[in-house]
Amino acid sequence: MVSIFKLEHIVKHYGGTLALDDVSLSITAGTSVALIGSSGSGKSTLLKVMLGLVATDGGTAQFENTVIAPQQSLALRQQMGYVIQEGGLFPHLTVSENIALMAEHLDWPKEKIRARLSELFALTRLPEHFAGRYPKELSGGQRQRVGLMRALMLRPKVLLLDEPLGALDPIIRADLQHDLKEIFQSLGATVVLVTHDISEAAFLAETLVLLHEGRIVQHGSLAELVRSPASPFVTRFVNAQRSPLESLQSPQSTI
Amino acid sequence: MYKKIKKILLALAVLVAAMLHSAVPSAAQVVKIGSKKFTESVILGEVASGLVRSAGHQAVHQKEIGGTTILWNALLEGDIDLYPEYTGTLMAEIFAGRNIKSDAELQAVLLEKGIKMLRPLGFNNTYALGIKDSVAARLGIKTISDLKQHARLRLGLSNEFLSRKDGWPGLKDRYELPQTSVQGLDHDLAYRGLESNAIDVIDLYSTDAEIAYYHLRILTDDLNYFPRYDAVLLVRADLEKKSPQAFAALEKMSGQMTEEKMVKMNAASKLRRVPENQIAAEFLAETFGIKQAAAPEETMVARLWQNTKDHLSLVAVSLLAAIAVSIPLGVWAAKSKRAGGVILGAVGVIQTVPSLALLVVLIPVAGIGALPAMLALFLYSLLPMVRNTATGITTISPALTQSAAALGLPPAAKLWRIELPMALPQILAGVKTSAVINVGTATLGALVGAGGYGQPILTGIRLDDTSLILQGAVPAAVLALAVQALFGAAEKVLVSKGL
Ligand SMILES: Nc1ncnc2c1ncn2[C@@H]1O[C@H](COP(=O)(O)OP(=O)(O)O)[C@@H](O)[C@H]1O
Ligand SMILES: [Mg+2]
Repeated sequence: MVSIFKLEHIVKHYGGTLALDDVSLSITAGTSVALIGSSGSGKSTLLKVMLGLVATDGGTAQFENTVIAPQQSLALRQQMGYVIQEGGLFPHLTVSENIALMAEHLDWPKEKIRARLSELFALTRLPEHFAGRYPKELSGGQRQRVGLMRALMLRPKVLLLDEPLGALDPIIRADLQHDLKEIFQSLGATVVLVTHDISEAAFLAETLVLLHEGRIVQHGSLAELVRSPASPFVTRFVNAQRSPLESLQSPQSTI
Repeated sequence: MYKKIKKILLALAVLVAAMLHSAVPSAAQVVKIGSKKFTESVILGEVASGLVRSAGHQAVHQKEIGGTTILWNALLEGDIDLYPEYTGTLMAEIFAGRNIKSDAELQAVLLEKGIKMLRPLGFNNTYALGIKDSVAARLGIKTISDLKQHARLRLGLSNEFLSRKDGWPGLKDRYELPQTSVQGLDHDLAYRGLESNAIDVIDLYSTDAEIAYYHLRILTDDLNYFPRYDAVLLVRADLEKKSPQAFAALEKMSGQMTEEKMVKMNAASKLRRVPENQIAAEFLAETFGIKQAAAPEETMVARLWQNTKDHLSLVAVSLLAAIAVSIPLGVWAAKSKRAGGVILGAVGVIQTVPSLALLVVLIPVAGIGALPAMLALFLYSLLPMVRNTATGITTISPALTQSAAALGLPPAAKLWRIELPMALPQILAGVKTSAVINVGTATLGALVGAGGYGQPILTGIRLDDTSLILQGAVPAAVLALAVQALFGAAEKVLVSKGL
């Protein structure tokens, strides 16, 4: 088992806020991991440490045995795909310009770019005639697909997604969840996904990592989190997110 | 898209270089004459030009460039070789505090600075008291002392003359004048008051054009109360070596003028609107027998075209240079908080310097003509563009800058492909603001001899000619509107439809 990410004793402060407090995490190549936890628990910060977007105040972070340092991590970042809410698309570029931005920067031949774009449109199930549109002319779900295409363009080894479906309504969200799962499986890439929705996490990822106040509380499958919670907080977090159908069956449920 | 911008910027840079090159005057052996922005000075400048030409030299007359400070500095810097000045101005303004008493002393201090003061032209343009010729003849008044015998005469004096220490208070004491009816009023109205017999005696400049028009008599200053403002030519000493014939020709002008002649010439210009070069040509023909081919009179269209070219080049060169400097400065300000504070502070301070002061300060550096005007306009253009570039970049959402960084886009590429295109609407708005301000401010360029739409405005103010003022003001306003429209169109072409 090769670990593609190896984080040891990571500490990160923002002024007086302790965002990450001694976090150690190792992610095996080819697996999918979901970072869960309530808002402010440090999920996004952890993802940015992996990307080398923020400097840490302690500990070491490695990607394939290379230390991730924000100043020198441009080449590393090109091996990672990063998707944020709403896709983080550049408004002044069309869909295809957004997706091909890095490939153009790396001087890919036009033919190669065109072929890769076609592949990605097919993979994410977005009709190709959207290529010339600007982000403001797309729906939220479409923007998310474009963001995913942009992240996948250079065939990254890992895909880092920060609440990619956070801003979508339930039906589109469910559609995209299924599409995402298929894509993850077909790619076989390593996936790190941030979400605060535990069922989405369990649906899309093999392993869950629960964060609370900058610390990892438990690391395991959903079944492990439910059956042998590492602390009362784990149970509280899991129970707080029961499905609406469940609450129909037990109307006296406490929240 | 960003290749397009790169190409445009490159083209602009080449254009700026070319225009700057053409703006710097060539250093041929031409005698350069300056004059102040009032009619008498312009006429004297024309006469001097004619004399230089009669000696076989080329002469360039930089007409009506500003006031004493600008011309004096231009002379010291060698941007002009000579200009007409007054001894009183030299003693009281330029060498104020040195307590210079005589012309000989004045000549000595000027020579220290490499300036020769030629012998006086022959007239004294000083404060004087004037009275209707008919009244003076009837009462037998010739001198100021004669006024003592006529205590009932009514005086209408300009407000400035009334309050100056060397004006009415001193005059009254020196001559022990008994008049009690003394009114303060506007100088131009004073002539009308005299005409309608509402007042009898006024103060005036001894070569005012109106003296001839209203048939006035100047009262002799028999106690020598008023300081002398003898007209002289100030010439750079090095001209004598460089162009001895021209220098000799200029010396011929000494002693050839009288107050009466000057009044007539001023009147020809101000009251009859005879062009100054024609007035000078007549004087040269009468006095020296110099015949010059009359310069063809400029048509209004030709003048408008010339002014438009001058004005456009002032605005274009200064704006393009400012764009080339402001955008990098704005980017720097956006990237570094500390640099940003310094940069925005500095360009903000420049903006608060009054334009006339800035022009005067720039003369030692840039001389006179288009260059100092372009420099001043360049400096004034910085703030709107630097500020807009900086805010355009800093207001890009952090999620997007992080997205760009996460892609692994290096900083330079990030700037070209993400930050600048996203900030472009704001940057263009800044450029537009600067351009419109520039079109208006460039009219001040005429004060340092840069030409443009300010030229007819300046001449129009000098000759009290509204139609001439409009020949500058209207095209300037039209140009400002055109610039606004142009940038509207540029925005449509350059800014991404996605924004
Ligand atoms: N750029 C920042 N500046 C200051 N504080 C920050 C910044 N980013 C995150 N934080 C703080 O760090 C903590 C963790 O934030 P984050 O990693 O975004 O949490 P999550 O993604 O789990 O909601 C929070 O308290 C948040 O307020
Ligand atoms: Mg977050």
